[in-house]
Amino acid sequence: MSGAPSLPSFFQQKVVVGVGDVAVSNNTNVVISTFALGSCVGIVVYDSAMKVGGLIHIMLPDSTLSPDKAQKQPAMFADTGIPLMFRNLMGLKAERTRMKAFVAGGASVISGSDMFKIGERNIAAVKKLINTLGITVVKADLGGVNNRTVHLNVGTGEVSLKTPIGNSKFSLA
Amino acid sequence: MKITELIENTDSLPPAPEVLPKLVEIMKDPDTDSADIVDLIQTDPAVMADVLKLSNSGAYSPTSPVTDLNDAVALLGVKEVYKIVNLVTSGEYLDGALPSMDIRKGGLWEHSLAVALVMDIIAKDLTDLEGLPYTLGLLHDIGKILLHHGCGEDYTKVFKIVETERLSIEKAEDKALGFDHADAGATILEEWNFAEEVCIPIRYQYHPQEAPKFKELAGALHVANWAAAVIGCNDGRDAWALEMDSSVFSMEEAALEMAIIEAKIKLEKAKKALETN
Repeated sequence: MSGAPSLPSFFQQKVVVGVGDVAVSNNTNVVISTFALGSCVGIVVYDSAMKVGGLIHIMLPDSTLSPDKAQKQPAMFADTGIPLMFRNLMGLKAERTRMKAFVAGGASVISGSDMFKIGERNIAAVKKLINTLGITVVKADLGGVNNRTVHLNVGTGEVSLKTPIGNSKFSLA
Repeated sequence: MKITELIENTDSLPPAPEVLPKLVEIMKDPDTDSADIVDLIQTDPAVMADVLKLSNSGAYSPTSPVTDLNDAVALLGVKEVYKIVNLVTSGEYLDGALPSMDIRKGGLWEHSLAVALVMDIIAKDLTDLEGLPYTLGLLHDIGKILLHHGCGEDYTKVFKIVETERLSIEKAEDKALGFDHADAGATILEEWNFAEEVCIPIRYQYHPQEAPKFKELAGALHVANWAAAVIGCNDGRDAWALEMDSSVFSMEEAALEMAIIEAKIKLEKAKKALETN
């Protein structure tokens, strides 16, 4: 039947992760997306054996700025959000040793004092936490002066990355 | 191309706003009372209708329906009604997509609202004119619309300069066109008879140290434009091609980050209310 949607696309569900938010899923019909990653950093994680994936959109590096806000919205900060995402992934039977990650974002201004380099500070905080957790990062697209949009297909592990200057696709499976 | 030619050739913009420039002007007068504001808004039925509609929206959830402007001012206060006039007026201009700059429909308005909300927090002590920081935020990028309509696909030259010479957007615009979107915006706002308190900070938002007056407001606008990008509201190609200068307006890093978080929460509430309106 030409033109009819294929069964998987017909049932595909979209989950949008906002700024300072996180989502994990083992539903193979789900595509998790985040838009407007600027200085924020997004981490996409996938365990192909269990078909479990997650995406977090971190806004700031350090929750000591506001423990109160961190309690209400832990995914806003790298140090409270990343451990939360991994706990949630493991709750869906994902194994840390099998996980593959893609890290994107951290855009930064051309010049200015450190205060304005939140992107660079976010990247540093994320790298440190990912190293501590021992997660394999298979690809990264960081820095620069453009915003990014990222989609993860939980069924296939396929990631698509969109920026105003180009698009790419690759797999975390 | 000259800015004046750009403005003359732009017939796709809605007509000049009548109420908002006069509203800014009368807000400067300490003797202005709520009756003056109601009288002014009533001169434009479209603005009046939009103000009443928004006054009854989820953003304000009045206990009883707001049916006339006197009710709106009594229930919400002068400052909120002032903000609503700003929102409905700027929405007329800012809501469209700007494909030449890779800005989606609604993107520029969302960015401008985010800048307004940050300004409302960080610049409130810089002026006696309550509401001015909010107006500056909402109108600061109006020049982008002129450049989009006036230059079209030619605007790609600006991005080429940014990407090959690593210049900031406004410097690349200046190199390609002889002026930038801040100049264009301030020029049309002057033509629309906005007060200098509005036009000068907008003209100098990228180089606040050169502002002949209202330097700190220009400096705060410079910072607020960046802060809106941090909360994910800065659509467009090369959106981070900014050169930051904190010599005129500066804040403690932690205070600025808290302001960003506060503005993000306010923006989410405002967007929800506007979507359900």
